[in-house]
Amino acid sequence: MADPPLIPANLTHAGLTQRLAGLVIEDRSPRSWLMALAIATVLTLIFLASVWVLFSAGVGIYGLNVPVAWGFPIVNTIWWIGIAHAGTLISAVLLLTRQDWRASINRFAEAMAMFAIVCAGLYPIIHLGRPEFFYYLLPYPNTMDLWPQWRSPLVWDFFAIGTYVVFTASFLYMSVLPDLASLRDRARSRAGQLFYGVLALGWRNSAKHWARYERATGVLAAAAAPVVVLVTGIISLDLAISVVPGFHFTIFPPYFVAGALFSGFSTVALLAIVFRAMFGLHDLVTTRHLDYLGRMMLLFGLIVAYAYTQEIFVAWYSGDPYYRYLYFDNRMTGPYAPFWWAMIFCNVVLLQLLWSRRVRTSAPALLLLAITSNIGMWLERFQIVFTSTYADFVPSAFDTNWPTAWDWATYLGSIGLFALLLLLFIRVAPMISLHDMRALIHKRSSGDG
Amino acid sequence: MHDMSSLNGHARVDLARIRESLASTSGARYWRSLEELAQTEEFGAFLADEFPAIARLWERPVSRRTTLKLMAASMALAGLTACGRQPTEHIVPYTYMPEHVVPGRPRFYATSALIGGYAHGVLAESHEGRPTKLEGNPDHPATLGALDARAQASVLSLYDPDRSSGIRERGDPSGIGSLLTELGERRRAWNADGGAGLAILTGTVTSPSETAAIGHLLERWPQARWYTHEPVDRDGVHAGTRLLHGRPLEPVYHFDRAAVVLSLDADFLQSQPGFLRHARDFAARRRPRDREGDLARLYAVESTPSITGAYADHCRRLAHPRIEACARQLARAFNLGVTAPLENAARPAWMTSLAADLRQHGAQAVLVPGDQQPAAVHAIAHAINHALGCVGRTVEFIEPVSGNIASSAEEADAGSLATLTRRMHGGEVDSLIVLESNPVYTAPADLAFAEAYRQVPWRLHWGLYQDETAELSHWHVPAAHALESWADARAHDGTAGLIQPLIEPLQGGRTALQMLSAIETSAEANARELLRQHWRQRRGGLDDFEAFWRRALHDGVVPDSAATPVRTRPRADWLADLPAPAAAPSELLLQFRPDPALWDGADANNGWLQELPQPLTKITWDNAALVSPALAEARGLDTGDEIELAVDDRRVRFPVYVLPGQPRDAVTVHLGHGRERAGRIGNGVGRNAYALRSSERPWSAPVSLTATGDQHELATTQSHHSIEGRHMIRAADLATYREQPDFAHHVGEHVPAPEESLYPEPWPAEREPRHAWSMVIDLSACIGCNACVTACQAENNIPVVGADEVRRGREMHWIRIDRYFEGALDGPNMVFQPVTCMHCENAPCEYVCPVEATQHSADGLNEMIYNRCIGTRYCSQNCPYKVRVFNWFDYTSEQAKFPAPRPLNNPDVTVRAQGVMEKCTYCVQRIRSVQQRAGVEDRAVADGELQTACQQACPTQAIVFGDRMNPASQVSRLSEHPLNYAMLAELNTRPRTTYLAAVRNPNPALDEEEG
Repeated sequence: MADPPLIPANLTHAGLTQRLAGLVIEDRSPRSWLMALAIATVLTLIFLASVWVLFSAGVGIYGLNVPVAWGFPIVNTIWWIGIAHAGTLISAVLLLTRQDWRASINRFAEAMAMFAIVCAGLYPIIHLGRPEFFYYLLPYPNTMDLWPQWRSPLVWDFFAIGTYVVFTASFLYMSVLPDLASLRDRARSRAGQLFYGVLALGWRNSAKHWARYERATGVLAAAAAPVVVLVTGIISLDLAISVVPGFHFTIFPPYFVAGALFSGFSTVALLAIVFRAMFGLHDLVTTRHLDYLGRMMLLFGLIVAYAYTQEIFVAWYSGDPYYRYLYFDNRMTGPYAPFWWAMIFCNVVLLQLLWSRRVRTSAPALLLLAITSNIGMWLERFQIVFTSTYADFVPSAFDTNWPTAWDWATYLGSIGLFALLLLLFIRVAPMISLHDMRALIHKRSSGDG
Repeated sequence: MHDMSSLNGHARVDLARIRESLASTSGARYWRSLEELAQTEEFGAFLADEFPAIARLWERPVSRRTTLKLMAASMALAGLTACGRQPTEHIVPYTYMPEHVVPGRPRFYATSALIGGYAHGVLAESHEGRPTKLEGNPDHPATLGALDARAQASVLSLYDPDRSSGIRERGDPSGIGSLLTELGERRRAWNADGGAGLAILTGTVTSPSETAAIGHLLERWPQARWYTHEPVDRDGVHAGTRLLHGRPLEPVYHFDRAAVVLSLDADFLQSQPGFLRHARDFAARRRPRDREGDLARLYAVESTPSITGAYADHCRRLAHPRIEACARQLARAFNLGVTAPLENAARPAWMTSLAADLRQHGAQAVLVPGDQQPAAVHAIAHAINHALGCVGRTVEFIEPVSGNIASSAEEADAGSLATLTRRMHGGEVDSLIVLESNPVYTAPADLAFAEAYRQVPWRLHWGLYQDETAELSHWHVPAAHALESWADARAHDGTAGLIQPLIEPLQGGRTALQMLSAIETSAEANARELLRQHWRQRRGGLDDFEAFWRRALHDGVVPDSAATPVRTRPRADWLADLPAPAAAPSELLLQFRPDPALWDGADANNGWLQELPQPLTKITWDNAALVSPALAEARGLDTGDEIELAVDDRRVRFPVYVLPGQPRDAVTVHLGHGRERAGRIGNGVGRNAYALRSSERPWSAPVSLTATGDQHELATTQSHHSIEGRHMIRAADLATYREQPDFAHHVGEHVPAPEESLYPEPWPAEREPRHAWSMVIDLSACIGCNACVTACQAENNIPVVGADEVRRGREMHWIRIDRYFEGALDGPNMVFQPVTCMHCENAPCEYVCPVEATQHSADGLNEMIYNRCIGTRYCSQNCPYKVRVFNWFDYTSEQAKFPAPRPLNNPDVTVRAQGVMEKCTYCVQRIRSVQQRAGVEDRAVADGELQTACQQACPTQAIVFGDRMNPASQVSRLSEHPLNYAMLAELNTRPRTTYLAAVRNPNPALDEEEG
């Protein structure tokens, strides 16, 4: 099979740097970028407004109740965290496995991870009844002489997210560092030179630098996989540690990792397709990249689908009436059944289209599937949070919970915030890694590409 | 209208508009002045006029210089405010400490609450002079220490800011002086003609002193008439006994002596006078824990599902008029000579078995006819009671408790509201005095009372609220609340009790005796002296009066005042007066029932009662048309559909609630809703069923039902009605229980043994506790009456959240009564299960809280630390019983939509802020205070010394609380009882609250037939 090359044949080191750094330093903003920025800003303002209302009126503005005391905020937390975790993992695992095609998309993945974790981290705080006291989760010396409760998965969660924020930021910064030096060298204004100069930490492109850099990124990448698996696992323990049917499953940690990778690859594909169209990077992010992304989506989508069957099987095989009721009487036929079937349609049925190479290499088709997969994964988290709790043990307490306008405003607003941060980021740092691409060119010219 | 504004004639405040705008706001909103409300242009102009400088500044463009000048001036002048003279305030400590008052320790005073006019003896808890809670008076025969939801909620009404706050003349504030002057003028007129045009309208009056005072008025003005209007009347009871015995008598039931009971549409466990006593006595005969295998049996035939029917071993549900056919059918089995019904109401075999069972138990059986049934049913039922030989044993007759019971049918007719209205229409009434009654709202619609009322030249209303009747009256006098009053009242068995005030009238109300005395003498009198005068006269000699008075006040009951039973036989010719059997109407019927919480609607402005879930439907803040599943199916209706009910040409829209067990050919609506002038909480809540009621057919009438296509979402606290084959509630019949006493252990899921866990359990390991608090709830005793729910609300400062929040599943009650249906859709059994926090030893809520806001105490309490809670709500998500409730919004402060009156709060319980979780604490404040007292006295806490609020209020003693470490305690004993089981024990939560499985006692002969 004659795969198109990953990089254009005529691409040179200088040409590449000129072009990609130019997107940051020289080019005027494309119209599409400006429009996207405007939309993202409006959505971010909506996010800020709804958080304002939330803080002044109380968490009751959301569609929450007893029994469904966690609603959209937690659904969104898990959704964003899934996307976030995948970003670092994709970049790190592809690095460790020496996947050449990683060079064009790793920056998207890393940036996506960074900004998704920001969105994910906001929700657990704003969904608190008393968000002003969120720091009670920290083990700091205090007059109450009290530490957090280490048995609670929410404390693990707090540290998991905290660790992940630090790790993702380091990993992203590490990845951008040589590129910042390139930008410093190319910046024309004094302010730009100073800005990038400070950020570049005195990078001089010396062999010593590179040797240490390679070692450091190698260590970070090697750490990334266990960190991400652990962190995702801990997030899943938030649910799995409980006694609630639908939460309490031992398969949750691997299931969540697979789900995270599925939604992560989908989001990377989505960003790659959007930005390559926005900045005309079709030669750098090729259909071959899309093909690979599609294959990864398919792989992890199938693992997720397998997890669904296992969940259902175990619920049946356990003989536990509460689990059986949850799966067979609730998810498939209950008041939230349309969401369940929509999830199956998005994550299982539509996914099968990716077996076709034509679908994988078609940007519009892959974009569409990336969107449906993200919707599907959001619905999956909706399933877990809503249908597990609305009818658990005591039938008299069964009650449904429907999201309010504020729920939607905050959710869409957080997507706006994510987009805004990302759009601004790609105008500050190159959206495709310069040094990784240059390494690729070097590899090709030295004949082992 | 007077110009009440302070605008010096600038503008008149448009009161109508204010009313409109107030009416359109829901919930309790506070405002400062009429002008602020009106928001008129004149008010703006007035402001501009009053503070011209500011207005000018406001309008002028502000320059930089001006801004700086203003800021500088503000800075300079800011200090000046400190120079203002503070108004003098005196904070006065007790110079002389009142005797017995220990700050922080509540005191209890015996008094009575009135339920449908009948006394429920209460102990009112007072914290530093503020009444905060009502509890049953253990010495009072009607309560024996328990108390119903309605009586308990009356303490909230005491602090209701919407209560009438002053005498009003034609709507305008007036004073007692003007009223007395006016009364003086009226008296001269009445003196002249003997009171020919004077009419007094009251509800049921059981108060001896009030009866005497009205008697004085009638003596003084012999032409005056006393009319009675009790919206939920008991005319059938008195007419029935009159028919049978020749004079009106009051039946008093002794369920403690009954082995077989048949209720003929009698909700004697929740509605009929003495219901708390009935529940107490009857449950004592139904609890296997006390009586081993010898349980009483209850048959019920009822027209609307009630908690009495739900408690019955056999329940038949028939439309209201068919109950009479049922009574006649049964009477045939006793050969009483009663004409057979035109159509049998129940299958003959069923009737035969029932009759055989009754006859077999003879003097230990009893028939209880319902208050809403006609005289014929009462006469037949009591005739059967006589035939059974149970009169004098399980039922006794006493002289009527109420002071206004007519001794003949003619007299009853002459004193009825219908007669009064007819006379009013005829212009025969020129002065009408309405005492604590609201006929403009409660009168049957066919009487057109409001129109007649408007024609009366002089109308005076005395009542707690500026209600619909007050609105149309010339004079309105605020009544004192029972907790502000000196008064007296009689209980269902005739026992008289004194009512004493715990607080000065908050709104300047006057007692009934003061009002009557003012009418008689047109002078003010001291409320306490009036009452003492009455009792001094009644007790004859003065010597022992002070002792008697102190004793009666202390005990809450007048010693030896219970009525003596009269010996009576049916009249020889009673059958001749018994009306011939009528054909049961074939069309759809509309039945009226008092609301289980609001009763006749007088308490509609009480948030606790509005938010109290109805026992069977779990509806709050509304009344629905109860429709059977069969009818709903036939008409294509579903819960929440809006229908229009039309009786004659009167139409009212109701939302539908499909209630399994409702008779197919009858729709039931509850009275007491749809108030227009109840106050800010009660206005516009629900629909007014009185508008469909007629004086001829007060309890059921043919109706036509049309679907409107509109929807109305009901605020229910339980949306799932099937138990899904789970084993939350375990029950068996007596035969099964005898064979296998621990049957409850043989249903349900596998319960893990402690050693199955890998870790030492419970965690944390018990720290050699000295106590292990524990609760047992006896499902054989629970009747689902809600008394515990209100008790908990009052004890634990539980907020009211309103209909919208209830709709969203955010009600705050710490104890809920789960209700499940079981069996056929048309004739289901209904079972109740009170659910509180289980205080699990292995609590799922505790280990998931990240900030240790919920923890386990050494003595086994699952504790909430509110100020540590940050509101992650994980505890609620992980609670399998879902007993935790969350403060989604600010429900408790002054800014809350339904703010609780501050003085009402129990000072021993934290008022919870927005954003924290809360739940049942086992009344930890009571535990600690009893422990401290025992510690000070250097003794152990005695079993039974400690009662939780729910346990204390429970009329059936279904809730037992105590220390499991004390092997002699009742709770220890019941924990070992074979009937004891834990809900969801298979989760290894090890709840400290366990249940005793219910044992029913169906008639084996009927069991087969019912299949």
